[in-house]
Amino acid sequence: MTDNAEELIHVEYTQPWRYRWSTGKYIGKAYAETKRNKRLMGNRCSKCQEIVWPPEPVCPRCKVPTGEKWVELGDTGTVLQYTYQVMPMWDPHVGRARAHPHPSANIRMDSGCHIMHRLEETDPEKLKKVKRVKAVWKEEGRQGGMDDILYFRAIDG
Amino acid sequence: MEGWTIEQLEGKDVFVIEGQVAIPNNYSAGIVGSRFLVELRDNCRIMGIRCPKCDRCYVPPKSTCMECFGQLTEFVEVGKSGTLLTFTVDHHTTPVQTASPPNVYGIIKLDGADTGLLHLIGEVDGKAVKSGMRLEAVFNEERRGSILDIKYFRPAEAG
Ligand SMILES: [Zn+2]
Ligand SMILES: [Zn+2]
Repeated sequence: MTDNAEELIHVEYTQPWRYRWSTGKYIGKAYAETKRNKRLMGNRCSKCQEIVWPPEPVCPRCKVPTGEKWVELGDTGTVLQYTYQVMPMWDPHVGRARAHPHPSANIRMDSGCHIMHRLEETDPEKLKKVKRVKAVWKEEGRQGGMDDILYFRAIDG
Repeated sequence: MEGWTIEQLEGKDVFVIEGQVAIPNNYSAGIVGSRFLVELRDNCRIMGIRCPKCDRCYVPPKSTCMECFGQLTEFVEVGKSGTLLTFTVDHHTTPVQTASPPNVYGIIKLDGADTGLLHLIGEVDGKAVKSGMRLEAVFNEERRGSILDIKYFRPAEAG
């Protein structure tokens, strides 16, 4: 019926999904602290006395209002796990790979909270020895949020 | 930062984050779907595919019969006109629909087909659209192998 019956059609496109959200009071406080003071702040639950991170109006353990007893998480912690990335992390906002890959780590802060962030060290062999780490903050261009920390750097002790 | 913004509300410890999640897609129409689109583009023909066992004609064509699960290969041309089975009027804009609202979507059973084809309905006010009305395909001048090579379906002249 047609000469080009074998032609296969495919369509490439990038689908944008718009969003707009407000941090609200609790995440807003945390973002304001990273932006203004280079501090990670969580709120302490009035019942179990654990620090809630990221800060929330209700304690995920006790299901009671946490209140606004703000406490610093500090800058130092211990790496529990990390992922060495062969493929660079995807940037969901633009649909492309990020230019500078860094390993992701699950870090237990000395204050007891667990946070996910990047590690400065990218050498797979040296990574194995990274235990104690400290947040390296952006000196300029802090906007509020976890990206105000560039990455975590290995430290002694 | 590229793709999104974060803004602190004046004098408040509250931020508004605005942006997008950009998802790269590569959609393949497959062997049967490609044939359907190539015929639209090159010949302004709407092709269905017939199951020899059930005698059902699928538009748009598919490679497997939904009734007997047989592999389908028998392409047949169906009419450019058909009957509107059902429709809806959409007043929203979305990133996938570039035409400005309101958009009327219909499911049209083309003459010779046994299934409905989803498409836009044009040249008629949404309030005047009725199930059962006769519609005909309007093709775009420039076609690129897309379902939108059919611009829309419009009310057909009676007879
Ligand atoms: Zn609690
Ligand atoms: Zn069949």
